[in-house]
Amino acid sequence: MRGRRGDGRRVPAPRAILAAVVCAALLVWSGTEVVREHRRESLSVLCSSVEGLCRGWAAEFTRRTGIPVSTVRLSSREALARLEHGAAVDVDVWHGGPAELYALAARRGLLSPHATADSVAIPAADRDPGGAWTGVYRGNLGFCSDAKALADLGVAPPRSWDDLLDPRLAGRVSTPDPVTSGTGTTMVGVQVRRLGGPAPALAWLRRLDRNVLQYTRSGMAPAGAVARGEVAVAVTFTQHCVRLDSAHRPLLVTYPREGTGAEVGAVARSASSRHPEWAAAYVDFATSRAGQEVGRAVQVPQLPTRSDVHADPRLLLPADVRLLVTSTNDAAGTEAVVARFATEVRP
Amino acid sequence: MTRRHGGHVPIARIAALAALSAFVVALLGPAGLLDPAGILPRTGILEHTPFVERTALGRVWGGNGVVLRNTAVLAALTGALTTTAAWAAAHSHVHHDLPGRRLAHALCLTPLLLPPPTIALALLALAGGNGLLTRHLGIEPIAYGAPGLVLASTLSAFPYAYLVLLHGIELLDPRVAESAADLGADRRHLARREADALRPSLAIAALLVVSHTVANLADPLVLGGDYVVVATRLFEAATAENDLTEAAAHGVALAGLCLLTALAARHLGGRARPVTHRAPVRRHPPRGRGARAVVGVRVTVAAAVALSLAVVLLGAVGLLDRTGPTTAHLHGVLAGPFRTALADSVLAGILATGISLPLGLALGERLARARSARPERVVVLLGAVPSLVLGLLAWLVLTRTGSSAGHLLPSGASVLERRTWLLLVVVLVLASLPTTATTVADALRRLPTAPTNAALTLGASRSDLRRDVWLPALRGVVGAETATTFARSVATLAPVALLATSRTPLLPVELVTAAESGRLADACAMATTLGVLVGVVAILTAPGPPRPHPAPTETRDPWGVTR
Repeated sequence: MRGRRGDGRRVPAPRAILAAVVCAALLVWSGTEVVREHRRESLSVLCSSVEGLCRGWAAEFTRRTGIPVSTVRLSSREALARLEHGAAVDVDVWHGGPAELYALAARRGLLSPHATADSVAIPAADRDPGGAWTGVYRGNLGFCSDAKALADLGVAPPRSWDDLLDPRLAGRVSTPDPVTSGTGTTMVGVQVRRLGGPAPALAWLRRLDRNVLQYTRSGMAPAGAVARGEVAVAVTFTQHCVRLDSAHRPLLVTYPREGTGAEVGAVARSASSRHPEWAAAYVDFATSRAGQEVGRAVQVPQLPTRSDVHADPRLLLPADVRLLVTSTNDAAGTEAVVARFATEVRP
Repeated sequence: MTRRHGGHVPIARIAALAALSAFVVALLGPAGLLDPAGILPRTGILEHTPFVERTALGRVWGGNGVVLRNTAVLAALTGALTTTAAWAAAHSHVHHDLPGRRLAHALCLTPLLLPPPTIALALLALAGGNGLLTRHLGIEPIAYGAPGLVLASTLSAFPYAYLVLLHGIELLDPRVAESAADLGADRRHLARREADALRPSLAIAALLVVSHTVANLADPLVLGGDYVVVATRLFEAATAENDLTEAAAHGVALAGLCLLTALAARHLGGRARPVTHRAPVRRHPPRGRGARAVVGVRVTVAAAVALSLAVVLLGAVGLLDRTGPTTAHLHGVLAGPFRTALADSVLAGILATGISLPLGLALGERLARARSARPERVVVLLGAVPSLVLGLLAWLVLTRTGSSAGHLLPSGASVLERRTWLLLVVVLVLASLPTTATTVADALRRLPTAPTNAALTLGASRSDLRRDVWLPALRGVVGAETATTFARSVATLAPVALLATSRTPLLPVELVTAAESGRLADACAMATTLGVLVGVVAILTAPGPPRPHPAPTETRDPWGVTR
């Protein structure tokens, strides 16, 4: 890399100079970015919803309040696990994901109650009476199918939980992992309620396991697997299926006739928040009309919890399908079944 | 191998026995043994787990040992397949003359510099449920589960086995095989003789691949499906279940396996042996079925790597999911929502490289000068600890201790973020330092002794020697280590997977999240960006053409230590 000048002193070769310049440029650029990001105080949000929607919420909140937001997307169980580390993980707000996990978090003292400015606009069933969490969207658990792939397999779109056990669907089903995903937890809760107890629920999950190609860490990922053509059917909250429906690959939403589960997607302030006032402002924003309209603006369809925000009719539960589990009432019982799922079905 | 300085073989055996004992005790003991301070919480689904299953052994053996069995099957299949393919490719590189020989060699080494899930992404796009090959050839998808993992791990780990076997074959005197062939020995007999001579290299290559495979986190997260291995179980236990006992139990299992593998490899391989004779090898075009087969293996591996690169590039511009051509995904990485993650990863990579290289040079020099082989063994064992386990330890420190060593860093950021950065850099440095140090030590031992001895006789100081003799001679090693250290630090998932936060997002973590949630184009764009970045650094730091230097003429090494 080096040559010698006439006086015998070494001079760096052009490639060494170029390497030094590239290295210095990368160091300056990345250093500036990182220092800028860390110099300013920002609100730290754990977001358990769609990546684009998480960014949309953060951008709109910053636009309205001027408070910068740092967001990381995690599945809801990963978010709950992270909250359990308290101040060691620097979290201000948790946004998105089924409220039953928020109920667990509240029971463990991980959330800081906040009476939202506009709480009367949210139905009482969709918020914690103590103000620990507030529902900001709803979702119904259903099946997301690639109709063409099912037709190729000679299988009709599923309309019963047991339709997922069809041997022709071996390796063609994707479900969220109950151990990592709140959606998966809801699915387990539905089976317990539908089949009358943990043992038959686990037996059913074991049979389903034969058809599952992939348990995903996140509850919305199974819909992505169907949209990409990896699998034919997914169990997911149906807003994720509607979002990914396209002319290129039409997706079909169906619901089990035996009944299904629902989520109330929530928002809450962390008990260890370093910016409790900013966090309260964020919770107020998320529950406000403006906050609940962000989904439509970033083209992520959602069912709002507020009655004064437009609800996408494609996401409404058909009248003939009943809800087996309300979002938060079975949380503790479901935990025990999820633990057994982790050791007995998918160790 | 001499026993004069501490007895190489007995020490290795004692160390192996100690490691095995610690491993077994840690597995058999109750969770409290792993958690003497009671710092690991029992919350979440762990509240519902019976006590017996809470023991470390119970955790690792959970579900009738299916996770261990999966890991063992994956490691064994990958080890066998990769070692066989690498032997064929290395033999072909040394003995056969073909057009594009250098290109094939470069492609065989390319996975060293690729972000880990690149091959997995390509496999998903080619042989997933909706893969190009699956659709057009009408074959069953093979990307998920054990078949996909074996294929992806084989290509990812290929360079390690290939380099070991290339070195092993270069050590063999080609004249022996040529004479035997001239005297009429058939090719099968020659292959058996080569296998005999290469037995240690083959074993080391296989063990390296096994070690790499069991510690790999990215591929199982992207392709594993319901095929759970120790690394993914550790990750899930730590991130989703908050079950730190289980994470620690799997960490112990992972570290124990890798340490035992390293000890076995060390025992089999002994010290590095420099290539001292460079008898010219007569390369010839492949003749006969056997020769064509080994060339075929080499070409297949090179083609598979090239295909993977092409597929990921196509994915990055949206041509795989029919949204392209578009630069939106690359723009998202360079200037959009993933810009901060890219900047964090680049800065962490530069800092880790900038720290571990000089430390590695200094440590390597000390190892080369050491009269005992013991320090080097310690460094080798440290290098065998999987980076995922280092990440887990850092995560435990970050989440479970209240000390604020972060005050060492500039003010401005929160204490937590400063601690995160400190631990991030420490983990990345520890993940690279042992390899750099042992590589430098080996390279120093291979230097010809005459210039060093002459300089010492003429009164040159150590720093003169370092500046004028050793560093120029190590130029190639430093260049290669810069590229691989940067690649390891900027692009690998395992050490950083547990350390990303909302304020410090890291691109490898975002990459795997995108791949898992079906955002293949975003994932390909991130892999392309990281690959290009590492490629540029590799090109800029690549050594120039080698300068011939005389072969060692003495048995004493440059440090004046008789070995």
